[in-house]
Amino acid sequence: MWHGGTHERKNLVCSSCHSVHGGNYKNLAKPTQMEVCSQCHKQIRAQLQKTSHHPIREGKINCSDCHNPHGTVTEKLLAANSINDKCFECHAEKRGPFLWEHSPVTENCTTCHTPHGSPHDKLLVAKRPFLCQRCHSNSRHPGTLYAQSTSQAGQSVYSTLGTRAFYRACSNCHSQIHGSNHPSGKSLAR
Amino acid sequence: MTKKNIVIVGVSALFMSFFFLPIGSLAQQDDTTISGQISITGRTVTGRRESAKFEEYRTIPGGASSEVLELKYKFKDKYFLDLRSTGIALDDQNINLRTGLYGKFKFELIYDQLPHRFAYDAKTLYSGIGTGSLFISSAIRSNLQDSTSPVDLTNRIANFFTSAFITDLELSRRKKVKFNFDAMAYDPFNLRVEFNRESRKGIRPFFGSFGFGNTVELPEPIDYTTTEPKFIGEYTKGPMYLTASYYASIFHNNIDTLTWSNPYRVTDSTTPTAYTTTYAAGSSRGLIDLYPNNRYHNLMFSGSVKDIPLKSRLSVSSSWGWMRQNDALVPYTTNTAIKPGAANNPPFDASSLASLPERSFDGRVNTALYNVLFTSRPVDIMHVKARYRYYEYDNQAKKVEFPGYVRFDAVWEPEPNESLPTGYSKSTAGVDVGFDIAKPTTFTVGYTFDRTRRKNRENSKQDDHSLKFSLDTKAGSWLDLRASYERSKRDGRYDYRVPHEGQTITPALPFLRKYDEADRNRDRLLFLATLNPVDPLTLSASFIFGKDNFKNSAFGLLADRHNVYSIDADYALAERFSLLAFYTRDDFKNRQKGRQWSPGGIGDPYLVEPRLESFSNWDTNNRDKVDTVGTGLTIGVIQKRLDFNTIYSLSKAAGHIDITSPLGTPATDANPFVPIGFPEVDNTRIHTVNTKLHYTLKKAYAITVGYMREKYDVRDFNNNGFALVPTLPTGAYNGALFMGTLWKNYGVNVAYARVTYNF
Repeated sequence: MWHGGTHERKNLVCSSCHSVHGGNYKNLAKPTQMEVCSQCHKQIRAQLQKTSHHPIREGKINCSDCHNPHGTVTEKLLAANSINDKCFECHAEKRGPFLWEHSPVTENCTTCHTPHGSPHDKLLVAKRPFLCQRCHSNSRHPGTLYAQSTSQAGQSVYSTLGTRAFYRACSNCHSQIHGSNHPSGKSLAR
Repeated sequence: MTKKNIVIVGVSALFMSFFFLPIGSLAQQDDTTISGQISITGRTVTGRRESAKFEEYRTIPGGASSEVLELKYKFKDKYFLDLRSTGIALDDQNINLRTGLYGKFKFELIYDQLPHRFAYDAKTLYSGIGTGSLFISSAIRSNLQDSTSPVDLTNRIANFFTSAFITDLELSRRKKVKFNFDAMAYDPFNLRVEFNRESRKGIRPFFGSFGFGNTVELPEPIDYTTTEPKFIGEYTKGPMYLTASYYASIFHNNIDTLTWSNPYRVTDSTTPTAYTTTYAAGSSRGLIDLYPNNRYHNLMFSGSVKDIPLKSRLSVSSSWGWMRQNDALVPYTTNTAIKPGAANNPPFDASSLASLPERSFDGRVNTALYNVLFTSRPVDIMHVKARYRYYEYDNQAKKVEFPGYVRFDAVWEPEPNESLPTGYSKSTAGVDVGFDIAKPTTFTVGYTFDRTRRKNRENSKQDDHSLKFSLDTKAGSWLDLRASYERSKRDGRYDYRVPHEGQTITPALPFLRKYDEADRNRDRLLFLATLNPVDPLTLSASFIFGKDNFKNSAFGLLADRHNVYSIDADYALAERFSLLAFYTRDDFKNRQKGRQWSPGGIGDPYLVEPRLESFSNWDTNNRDKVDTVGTGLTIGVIQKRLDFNTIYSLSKAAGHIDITSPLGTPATDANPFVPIGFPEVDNTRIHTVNTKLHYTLKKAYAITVGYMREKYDVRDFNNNGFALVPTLPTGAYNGALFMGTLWKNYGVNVAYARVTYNF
């Protein structure tokens, strides 16, 4: 799949990443895959340093565990048939299918998660509860404005806004966010 | 000496004796090469280590540990054996064995452990940690059930917490065994066999609630096994390449369910709603069905042919997958009080399996992937790429109809509902045409069309048109430039009512568009320049601009933009001196809008305020800014003898959320106050400095001494005022019970000395 792939189109050649005398596994031109890839992917290198991250900078996951730089049939040179298929290789428990699906989960993990690093817990793309409220502004508590009033300034978030904005926010109750197999689990709280 | 250190030293000694015995005889033979490395590290670790964040995915112990043990054996350039291990006997150890005959076969065996730590010294009232049954003694629960008021409950539970269990939450035993075998001896056929088996054990933070706001943080037991065999066959001859593969992934959860005591109840009862405090009424225990066993099989065939007319190549592939899950269902509830007789209860015993419409869920998803790729260079200055891709996630699970459900194990809600299997398919067609306008300069223009069809979601059909331009050029060896711009436009048929037909649910805000399905205009601009003005100096700068405009969304995510700037400098003067520095800023901004409302009340978009404007609306502007700085210096103090190396990095994240809402009166505004935003949203700083001095004594021996400091600070609004038993300003306790598992600050110093022997 090299021909027509992103890297071939960018005029990369074998020696862009490999050295015949590299000495390490796969004869890489740099000591680690991360260093090879970050020659061009500067923004990814910075993302890997963020507080919430996969164990890439610890050396337990390599770029090629998810991507095939030589070409694949999937976007972003992913070495799987879909983004979710790649995630399920390590997170097989989330594959389901479940009795109660959280519909964006079945379609694309990256709707909520960013795999290379995030300032937010669990590699989330935004902060809870606001991330959840991007889609859920239903009646009652999903649509509630979770903000303190000026008279509440300085008080703890728990004492003024309760568990829905405190600690892990929505996930404090909706802990089965990836899908539930419980007959009473339609709101993913069981 | 600890048991762990005894193991480390013992294994190292064994390893060394294994080397030294045969080296004398084998190394003398001209056609045999043996080399390797042994390094032992002694460390002292000091500072604040109470945060598990420091060792989230790694183990840095005090005392002695083996850093690397390596053996490379080669015989007549035919046979090879490589054995490399790191972190022997530590939680993050890795052992890798490769052996084979060059060009004939290769065998690889990998054993890897990955720790995943969440919290140290978490506190809980539950016993049975690590099992599927978490229990609080009847005496405690009986005492709490007898509380006379929320304030009284506060005092009682705080008293019990003084003798809470203290536990670490971690998956310290995520072990993976990988076996790979490649046979290349049967040209033109290649065969590869892979077998992976991973077991994951431990405890992680989890939640179970007994009512609105009465959430209880729980130590969830994890005991998973995943088995993955894979077989790949390849055929390569002349211009033809064919491959076929089979892959399976079998996930098994050794703990099916989790039951946990309700801290405030020792007897079962029902409540009129689940809003009441749970010491007054509710279930004596909760039940969650943990992740069910599942299995996945996949077959793939692909082939390509090259050297067809017009310097063309054609690749096709197809793949079919089968996901299955048929775990037994659990009853609606464990609350034995929800049975016929009492008002509002169902006409059956909700705690009995016999009351379910189905005993198990026959989950079935079939996936299909078809891919065609054609590349050609019809004339020297032009290249063409055309592609088509179809992916389908066909969810064939049948709908299961339920007459109602039990909310928080507390109350039967007679709301008929049915499970909705969601599925989708995505077709992608595109063509790119590139022109080599001058030898090192290529201009490419590409068009891509995506069509997504969904089942049981709001947007049943969605089209995305994308146009992309890119320019890549090289000016000699001193300048490399890459730039691209992409514009895409996504439109579809959004109907907010679709997933809820025939169901009784809390209604959706009709003006909201879920951002993964919403109509969208997207812009992406990328620029990367690498400059080598003089030989040892490399400078590079990159800029990424991205903007998503959800043009037809009145509520939900309205706009999302990000800018990433990066600059790098690298100065390397032979092997004696190198200096590098980089800086990156990620800047994410987005805006979203919501409405606070209740059915029939203020703000109701169906009955009371069926318009976009409302005092109950609210608007947030969210911003995350992350600055990453790094610098490194290497100096060869004495050539090939003494090296000095230091690296420093800082990742600083600063987020804030600004909130506005029009101010009305209590009669017209569901949130009649002036909101203040959150100035601290996941504000974190990670400083790391790593300095070492490496001295090569002789060719075979080296000593390294080093120092590492890592400091982590976090400030975040949803951890402000944290308490295990949080109370309201009145002193009353509202039922939430936490274990204290959010990240804490740390500052750790590691000083080490390492002895390395190379042979």
